[in-house]
Amino acid sequence: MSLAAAPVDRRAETPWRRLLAEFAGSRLAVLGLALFVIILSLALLAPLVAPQDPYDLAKLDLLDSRLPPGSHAADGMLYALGTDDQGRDLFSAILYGLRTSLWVGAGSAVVALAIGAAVGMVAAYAGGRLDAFLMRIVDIQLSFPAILVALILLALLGRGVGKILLALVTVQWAYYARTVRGTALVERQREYVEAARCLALPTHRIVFRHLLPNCLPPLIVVVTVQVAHAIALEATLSFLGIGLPVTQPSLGLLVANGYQYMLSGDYWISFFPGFALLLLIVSINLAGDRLRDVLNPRLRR
Amino acid sequence: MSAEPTLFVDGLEVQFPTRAGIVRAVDGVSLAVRPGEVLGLVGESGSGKTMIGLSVIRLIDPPGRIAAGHILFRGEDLTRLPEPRMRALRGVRIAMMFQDPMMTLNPVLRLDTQIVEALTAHVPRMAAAEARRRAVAALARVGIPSPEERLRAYPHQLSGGMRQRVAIAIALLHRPELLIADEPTTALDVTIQAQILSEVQGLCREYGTALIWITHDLSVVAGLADSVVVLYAGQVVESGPLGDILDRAMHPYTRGLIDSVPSRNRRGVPLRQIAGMAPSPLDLPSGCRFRERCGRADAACLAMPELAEAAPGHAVRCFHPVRDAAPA
Amino acid sequence: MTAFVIRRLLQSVVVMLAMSVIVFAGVFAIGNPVDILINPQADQAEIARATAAFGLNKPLWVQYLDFLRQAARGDLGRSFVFNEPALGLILQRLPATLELALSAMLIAVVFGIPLGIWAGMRPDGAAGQAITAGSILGFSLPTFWVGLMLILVFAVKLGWLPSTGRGATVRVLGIDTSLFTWDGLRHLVLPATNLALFQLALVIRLARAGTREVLLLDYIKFARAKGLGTGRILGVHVLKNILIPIVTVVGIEFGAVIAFAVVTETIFAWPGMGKLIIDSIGVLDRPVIVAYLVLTVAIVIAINLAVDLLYAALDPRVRLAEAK
Repeated sequence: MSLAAAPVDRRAETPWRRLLAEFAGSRLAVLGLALFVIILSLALLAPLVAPQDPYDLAKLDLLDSRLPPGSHAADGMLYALGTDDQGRDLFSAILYGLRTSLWVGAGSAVVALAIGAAVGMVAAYAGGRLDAFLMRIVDIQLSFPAILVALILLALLGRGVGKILLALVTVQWAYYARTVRGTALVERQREYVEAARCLALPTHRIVFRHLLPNCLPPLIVVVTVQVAHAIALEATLSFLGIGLPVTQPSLGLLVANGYQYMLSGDYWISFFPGFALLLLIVSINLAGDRLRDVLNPRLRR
Repeated sequence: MSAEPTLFVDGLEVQFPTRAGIVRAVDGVSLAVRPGEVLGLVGESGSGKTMIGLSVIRLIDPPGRIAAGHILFRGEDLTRLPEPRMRALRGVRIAMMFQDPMMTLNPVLRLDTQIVEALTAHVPRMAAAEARRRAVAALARVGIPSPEERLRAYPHQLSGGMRQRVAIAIALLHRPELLIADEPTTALDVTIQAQILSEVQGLCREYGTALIWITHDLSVVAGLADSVVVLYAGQVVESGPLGDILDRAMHPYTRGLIDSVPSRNRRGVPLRQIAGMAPSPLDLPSGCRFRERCGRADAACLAMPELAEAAPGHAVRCFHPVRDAAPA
Repeated sequence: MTAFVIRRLLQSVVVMLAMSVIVFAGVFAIGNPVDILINPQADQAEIARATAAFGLNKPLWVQYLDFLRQAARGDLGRSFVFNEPALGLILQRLPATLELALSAMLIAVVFGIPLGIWAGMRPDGAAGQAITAGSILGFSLPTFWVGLMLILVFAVKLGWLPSTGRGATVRVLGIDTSLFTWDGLRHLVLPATNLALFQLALVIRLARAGTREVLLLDYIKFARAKGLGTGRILGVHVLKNILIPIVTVVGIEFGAVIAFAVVTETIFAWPGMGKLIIDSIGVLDRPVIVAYLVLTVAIVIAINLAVDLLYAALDPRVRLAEAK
């Protein structure tokens, strides 16, 4: 019989490399990530890329209202995706709308994360009755549908950017609190924390070099899900007319504007903003979904 | 004793493609077991022993696959059998039981459901009353008290030992000709272990079932088996009758296993152990796979030794087999 | 088990009370209560009379107790717009919303579980990947936009289905429902599908994830070692195990669906509670807003309680642990 198989040549596989390799294993996920990066860039560069500032009322020409995609303005500017009922270039409006969606979504997520993480940590380290009490509040908050919570807040407080942000933060913080508490509890008891303590490592080192990297995976997954959710919720509320005010370009608002013209066939006013929103959310979810699969310990064999 | 073997495995190779290369979990293993006989399949985790069991009953999950070899069950080659016929064999003529009794039984289904379905899967027209009667009889046979009431219980309401008895009852429901037991007592208390062992042994003797007992613990096999096959890194390194293996083991690894059994160590003397760890299947040493842990290795061991018969019925894969008798 | 039930009931009552405080605070304490309770078009004399009559000069906690007492009697004020009891208005619309919500959940479960199990069984096959990608699309799609597109395609361009409104109803067991008329079903299809999409995606993902995890477990291997066929294994062993988390989520999501019907009802002009509240927010018809919030919160709390109890009933491990 032959000699045993020659040793296989392998580069050292660090956890990060393996994570990246597994993530890249799904073409859809990579596509999602690429799409998100494109949208993010376009949104960030909106003032430079958009052919028109859609919220500068002086620039709008009512005569150009409801033009189909591909039409041109009097000065030759191309209305790539058509115009809405105010003569606004839809492409520019969408770019600014994406910008709004992103900063509202990300902003509320950051604040909610800070609050939720604080609550979660306190609960995990305090333990006992404080923990039980805090988590009971979290559970109850989570048992309420997000839209209902938002409705309660907005119906009672009224409109405004601050109130929308408050609503979005209120809807999200509980998820972060529960996730952070869960991982903090588990990680605290792990042997490596004991080992690090035995080695008399300083606490901040334990927390940052050891605890945090292990707490990150579930947190990353929750963040992606929540950001996508927040973006969708803001758009929905704006569509219903109880979200961002008319002065803030929201994709939901753009879609709502186009509703009445749909039946007469001017579909683009509602279609394109909604489609852009869809692309944004789908890209986040595609990447986030793959991340979740890759980071799920129960699927490893 | 010279009856045709119930199972004859010939040159079995099981492989898993992974991103880092092809893992050869089982690399050319042959073994045989006769009706009523007990074969102890001994090896550490990663040696491929579970894979052999799963190969026989053909429950290897893709992407793993049987890459080469034959598995002859009463003369029929199982590797070539279409799936429906294989399914007809499972549970009826070939049975398997696993290590963790909690995970072997479905936690959300009652015991009677899980026993009766093993009956009706193969005898579809069985009446409910008849099925129930046979389930009760099966439980009684493995020594479970008040089987009538136990039937309505859920798995987590029973102790580990009881659950494993239920698994045995299910495995032997149709009086299979071959039972593959994959470490069934590893997760149990030592006292229960002995009971389960004798339970299984008795039933197999009674039904004439050939038994393959997979374990990492040589001492378990000592009171039970007729013959032993020792596995290392996917290969058979020694095989033979029980007495030969226990008293006159020739492979250094087998010797190491015997020596490291706590009962064989004397008080006050440091525990003997085999130095080092089993090699990763992706990083196997060239030549003899045990040479990096072996005190007797030399330049000759850079080539792969063949499995050769060194005494009647006793084969070993080594260039420098141990020839003296093992200390008592 | 009884202790568990009692504890959960108490918790529900506490939450309901907490919600009532929040609603009370929101409506009666923020801003001028006069504007909230009294029609803005009333004149000074009326306002003065009404102020006294409503007890707005009493201390806040007394007002709260009054509010609770009245709420217990079912009196949540009169709508400014319709001049009818607010609670009655909402309750009138409840059957339409429930019809929509139930249809949506039914679609989600009936299609979602089989598709999810299939995708979980063969995650790498073409169908499995398509179902997975479809499910991601399903919960990324903005419901309001999809609703509009559904109308555009099926009503405007193809003309197969009506674009808005509820169809003809018949009276069954004292409730008007449009489920049993052909016209009713035609009007129900688009909004129910619209509302179902998110839930469908959710159920598919749950079933798929659950199936993938369960199939790796030893008891599935043992079941196959017994010689059981794939049908039995999926239909009994896998299903019963994945059903528990699915039922829990579906139950809780039912409350979300009722709340989220707000969007679908607005787009399809479906005469349910949701449309009413959006309209009421627009005209600041506070009593109706309060009535909707109180009722919906009560429904959500009741559903969550029911789900918790159902979960305990389904999972024998929970049931027996609680009994100890």
